[in-house]
Amino acid sequence: MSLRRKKGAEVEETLKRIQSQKGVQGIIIVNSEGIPVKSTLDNQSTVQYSALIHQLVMKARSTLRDIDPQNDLTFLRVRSKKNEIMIAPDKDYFLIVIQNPSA
Amino acid sequence: MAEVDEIVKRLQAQKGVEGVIIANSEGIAIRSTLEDQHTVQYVALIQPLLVKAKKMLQEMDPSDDFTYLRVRTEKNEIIITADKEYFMVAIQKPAP
Repeated sequence: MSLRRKKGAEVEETLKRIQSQKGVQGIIIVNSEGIPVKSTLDNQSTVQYSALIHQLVMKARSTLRDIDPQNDLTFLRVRSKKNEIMIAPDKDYFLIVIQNPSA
Repeated sequence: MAEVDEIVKRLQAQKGVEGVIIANSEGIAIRSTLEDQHTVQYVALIQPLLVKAKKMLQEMDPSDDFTYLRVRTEKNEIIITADKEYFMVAIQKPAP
């Protein structure tokens, strides 16, 4: 398999694995510009989550840099009554997983 | 009032906890185990982030309520909880 196909397959594998975890409601991969590149949710939710979370991540990053310029964000969790949104940022993308923790 | 001090003391005594701050909705710290300068800085910077997180949840689902925000960084973890009138910030060393 070409490297591209192999990486693509790996991503699919990972997404499938996460999606099969109990309680997982949705997964979105967003690029550094806030544009969703993959999602297991419907279009509307995807677009909405991507935009809002992109802004939140930017804010969290800049807040951290203001507190300590040498520190950086590695993970973000937003818990609400109904579910939990986990955000794993990377250089070029970030991964969003929405789960119901009590499922 | 003494109850609040108890709780702050208990949290601060937990292994790995570096600081605990309680502030009101106007951004005024009412309790802190950190020195003034840091307290003011944390409160001023974290409050807008908290507001943003709350707004995000509101927009996604107005019937949902914010519970907590956990910001994991390379050096530590910042846990932010809030209710109507106050918010609390706890800074701890990351879990091993």
